[in-house]
Amino acid sequence: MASPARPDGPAGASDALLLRSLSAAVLSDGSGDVTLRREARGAVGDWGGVYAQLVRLTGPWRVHLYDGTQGFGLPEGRISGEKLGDRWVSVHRFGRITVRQEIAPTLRPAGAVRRLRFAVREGPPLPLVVYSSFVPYLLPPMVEGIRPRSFRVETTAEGLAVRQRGFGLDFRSSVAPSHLFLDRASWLGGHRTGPVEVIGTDHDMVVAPGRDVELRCVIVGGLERDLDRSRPMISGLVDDPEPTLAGAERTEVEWLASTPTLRFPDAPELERAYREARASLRRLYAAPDDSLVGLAAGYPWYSAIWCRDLAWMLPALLWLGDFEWVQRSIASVLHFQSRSAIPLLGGEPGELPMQISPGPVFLYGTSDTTLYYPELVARLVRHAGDPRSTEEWLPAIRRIVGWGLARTDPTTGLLRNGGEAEAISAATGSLARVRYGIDSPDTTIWDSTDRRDHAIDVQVLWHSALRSALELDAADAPSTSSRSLRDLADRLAATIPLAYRWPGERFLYDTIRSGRPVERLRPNALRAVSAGLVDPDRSRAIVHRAAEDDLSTPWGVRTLSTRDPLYRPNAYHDGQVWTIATAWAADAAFAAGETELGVDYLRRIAALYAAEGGAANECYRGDCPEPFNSCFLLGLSVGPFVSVVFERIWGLRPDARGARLEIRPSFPAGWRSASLDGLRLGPGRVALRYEAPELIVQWSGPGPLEVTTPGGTGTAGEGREVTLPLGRTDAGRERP
Amino acid sequence: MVDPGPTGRLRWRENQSVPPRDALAGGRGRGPLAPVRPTDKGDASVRYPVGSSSIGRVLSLARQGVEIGLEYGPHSLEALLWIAETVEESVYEPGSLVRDPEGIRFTLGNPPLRMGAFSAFRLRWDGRPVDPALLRIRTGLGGSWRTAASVTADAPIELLPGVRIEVAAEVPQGIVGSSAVVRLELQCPAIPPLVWVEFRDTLRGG
Repeated sequence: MASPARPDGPAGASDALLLRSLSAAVLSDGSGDVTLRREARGAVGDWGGVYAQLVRLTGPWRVHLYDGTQGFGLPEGRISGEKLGDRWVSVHRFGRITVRQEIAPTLRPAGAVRRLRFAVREGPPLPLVVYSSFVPYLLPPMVEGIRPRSFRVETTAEGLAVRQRGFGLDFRSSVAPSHLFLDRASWLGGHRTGPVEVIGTDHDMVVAPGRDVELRCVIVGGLERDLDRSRPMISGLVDDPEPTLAGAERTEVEWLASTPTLRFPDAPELERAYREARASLRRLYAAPDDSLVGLAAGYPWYSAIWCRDLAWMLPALLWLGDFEWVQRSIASVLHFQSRSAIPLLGGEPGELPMQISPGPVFLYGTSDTTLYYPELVARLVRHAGDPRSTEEWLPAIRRIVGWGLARTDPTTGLLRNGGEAEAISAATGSLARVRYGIDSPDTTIWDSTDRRDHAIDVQVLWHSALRSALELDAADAPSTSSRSLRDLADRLAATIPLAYRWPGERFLYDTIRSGRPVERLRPNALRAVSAGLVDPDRSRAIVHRAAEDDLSTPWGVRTLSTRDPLYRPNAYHDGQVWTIATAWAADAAFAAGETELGVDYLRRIAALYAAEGGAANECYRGDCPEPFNSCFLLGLSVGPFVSVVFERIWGLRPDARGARLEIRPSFPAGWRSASLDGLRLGPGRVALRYEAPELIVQWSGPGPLEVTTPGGTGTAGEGREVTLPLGRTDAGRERP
Repeated sequence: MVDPGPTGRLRWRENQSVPPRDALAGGRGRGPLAPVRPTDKGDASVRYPVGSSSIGRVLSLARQGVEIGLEYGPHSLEALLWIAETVEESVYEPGSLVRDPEGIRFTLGNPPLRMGAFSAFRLRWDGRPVDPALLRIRTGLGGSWRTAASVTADAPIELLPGVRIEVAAEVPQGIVGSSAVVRLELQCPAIPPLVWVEFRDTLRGG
């Protein structure tokens, strides 16, 4: 049972209700109406509404009842509410009337259905007016501060059509309205173009004992052209939404059944956290149209495919065995790789987009997004084992390398970050009568702070991109020959630990600007430890330094040390705690051999999941565990956790091409058992059972699987399992 | 049992001759009947400059447009324009720049790009900063005015999507019929990079 709704409760409270399908979402607070008041950027706004095809169709969608003498809003009479899968069922009572409401997102057409069933137990028949009202929006949430001002509203033969440029929504109901309202004024219908704040409809009904009545309202939409194509299906949805909803629910069950099961008897909180993170990742799956596949970055305001965020989620999907979704997601991103300079959109040749939405709408202009993808492709090959499926991407990988080389300082070998947003502003400056912008000098993962010119995590990514390009055999003579790429990668590997060494703090500098290191203590430096670019002693020192309380808190890791003059507890990237930074700290701790510390960081994340209904916020204040300016669900807060569990606690390194699996777990000293079932590797699945001090491996795929542990090597498969000594389970090691 | 009577696809009537339901107008969730505003697309006076000096830029833009269309399909150009036009038309209300006896005023239909609580609200008039004490803002319909000088981190101004922002400033320069460049700058403590909007329009009589 859900907790009592607090429609006017404290901003940021974790009572957000997300109902979603692969193409739509409903955001609510569980009060009974589709409203969600939530703080963003320090101000409280209403994020409730129907989202479809990654377009926000509506703002709040409310229902009021009038029984001839009084009016009620649905939340006032709420007596219960429960989330059943992706349906919200609530019961409301007003005098003699009982209302059972069900809200659910739909798949095709994308949108939401709202079923209201009215009943009275006794007395004479009761005339009832149901007033439904919604705020039209019709814009992707990528432009978070803007609600379009002008709409075209039209009555059609079957309902209402609302349009805003190429975006559209249709409103239908099973009971035709008796009255229409625009901005609360009665409207005769027809069409109207201009500012519209609220669209309302009255539905007259009579409820009698033993004769329940039902009103079904549907709001669907997204791109107008797709809506036009799906129009014939809308009627079926209004008549009987059940087959569509049940079909979507079956898909969810099948997906869950295809993912691995983990057991940590000595750490049930981590076992539960894995299940919660897995479920949260699934909630971000997005296939807004036939051509675009990925995961939404988060909710409420990052509900688009942000390609950097996607890159942090896809490794987790590989561990969950969803190779197909990873492949389609990468294909979606690479499709929008810039082939030439497009200053209007901030694109340079070879660059991958920052964000893609249906339309298609896409923008470039980040310094790191492009660099993630060679490793993602390499990872896909390691898990799925079929390099042929990725061969068509090799030209794209080569263009990525070319993009990186164009930004590389020939003297130092370091990649330059910064200036992307300024370039877009300069390119678009004369295009519009009204110019606008955000003066971000830099666009690393912490894109609201200035980390020019050579942020350390960007260098680690560049190194990884080069190594992955070599692994994929994507070298291309002469400028990007294998040798030159290898030389550059080796040079970076040598430069990073030296050039960024910060003896005073036993840490690594955050960036190098104009040839000088910038003394700013951020968790980004931990990425160099995870990548194995720092020697073991210094790695441990760096991890211990990060664990001090100026950077680490009981609820996670800050983006900047409290000792820094720039630090402010409510600054997005200059003091707030980010869950992904906590996952980095865990990853680095395991890499440095600090297993207990790594598990401790994971427990901090697990505690957030437990407290927040299975998801961790995007970020929290730096001085108290309070979400601030934070999406309540963000892929960055769940994907890396899943990856660390598989890559560090279990220490798995797949090589599906070679039919090999390396297993070097980092179990804390007290752990006596653990198991992992259903891990997908190439054409088969692996089951692992740890019973100290041995590991038993089963393999379902064709042919043998060579398994290596610190204690030995053996072969599983062809009807037999293999038992291997595990040896040390807490040794540090670099990232696979 | 569910009454099957009123369900199914019913034809929505156009031109329904139903009077306003005054009896319902005062009910929960409904305020007074709102006036219907006409479409208010103004005609800002300044156009995208296409002269001999900017021909190179125009050609570059054309090249980029062609590249986008060829590479990603004609829908891509169209969709990018949807966003650009929506943002352009949704922030500054075209034609709202007016001179009155107290100075100038204009209206924004939305915050410039980003919503949030802003700790600083600055205005530049033809490049010159306006004294915050002489700059006033109010949000929403019938909200109260406050000066920009009163906007601080402890007393920020909250700007939300779709909520109108009226700006008034005691600016001596500029006569009706002349054009001016107006630049607003806002600072949000939660995300520090400056957010700004800049437009040129003709001063109208108040």
